[in-house]
Amino acid sequence: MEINPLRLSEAASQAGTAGAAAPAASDGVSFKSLLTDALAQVNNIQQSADAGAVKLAAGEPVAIDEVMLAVQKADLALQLTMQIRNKLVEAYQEVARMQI
Amino acid sequence: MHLFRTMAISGSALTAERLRLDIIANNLANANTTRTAAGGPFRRQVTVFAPRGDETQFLYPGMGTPAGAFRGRGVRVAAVSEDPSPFKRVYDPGHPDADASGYVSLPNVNVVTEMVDMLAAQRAYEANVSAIVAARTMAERALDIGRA
Amino acid sequence: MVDKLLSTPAQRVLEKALGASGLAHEVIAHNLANVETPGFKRSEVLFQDRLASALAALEGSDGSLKGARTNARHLPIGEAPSLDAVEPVVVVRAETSLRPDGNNVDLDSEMVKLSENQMLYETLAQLVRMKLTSLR
Repeated sequence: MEINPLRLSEAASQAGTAGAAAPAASDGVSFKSLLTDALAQVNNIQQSADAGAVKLAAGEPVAIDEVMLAVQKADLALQLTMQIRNKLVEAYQEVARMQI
Repeated sequence: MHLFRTMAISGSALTAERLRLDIIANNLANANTTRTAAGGPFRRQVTVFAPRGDETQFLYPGMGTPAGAFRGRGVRVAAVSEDPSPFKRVYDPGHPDADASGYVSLPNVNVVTEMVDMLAAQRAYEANVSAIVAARTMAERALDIGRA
Repeated sequence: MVDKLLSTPAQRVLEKALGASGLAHEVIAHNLANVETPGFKRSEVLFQDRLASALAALEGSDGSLKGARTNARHLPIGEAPSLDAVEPVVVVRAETSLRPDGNNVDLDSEMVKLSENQMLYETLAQLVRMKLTSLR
């Protein structure tokens, strides 16, 4: 249930250099796999946050603060991924706009 | 959570306990009244409580009634009746209300019992005030659901 | 598709739990209102335990027997109920009491239940709110 901020930003910098170095078409694999990996991670975080919330509703001894933090982290992870996606798309569009 | 219904439930208890407190205060004030308008000493009064809206609660002991069928609506004062227990007879021939044999009939009010009842009524009153405060806080949280 | 986005199973469970907690407050308030009523028996809401056992059955960890069906039209035995099927239920606790007037409402334990339920309600409302805003 830990969001690994290092991994995501590292992925972003990798994607940034890859995007600047070559057009997206030939490097579509790295974009797609990075995004899908990040989204899968976000999904996992959200699932565990959901599970924690449902356990709380069922009266099991779950720490309230843990559940709150997990839900917040899931929210932040989603926002972070969205921002990264936006930056990647921006970078791709800039490259595509380059006049050769 | 039906906010107003919940407030009405706790409010009914506040009303009932307040009335009970008044009756107790009246009993205490008249603990030595030997001459009432109707003649004879003051007779202790007792409030009779009954649940409101939920008279069929004994229909389903142990079986669950579905959530929508919960009909409890608090408490009501079913009656204010007189305590039929006998008067206290004290030998006091000099008393203006003494009978032929010199005994005075004093009200059947026991001060200690009344004080204990008063404490119970007060505790119940405060508990229901807590229930109202809790309901209000919960409703405020529910209203916050839409806030970003 | 919009429907699936807006109501995941977890959100439905949270909303139902919120409703159950609200009902629990009404029941507790009714108990507290009748703490001095002779012969009154307290009620309570059963939801959390039922949800917990449904969860355990889903995860298969509660050791209950499950019947194998050879025909789809046979009635299922011990199959896991879906989380959506768990509903709150109000029960009357008709046990005898220590009080001479037959009333079995324990003022102190009802007050504790009141506080606990209030905390639970506020937590659930908070969680529902957070999930809705994260959707935004």
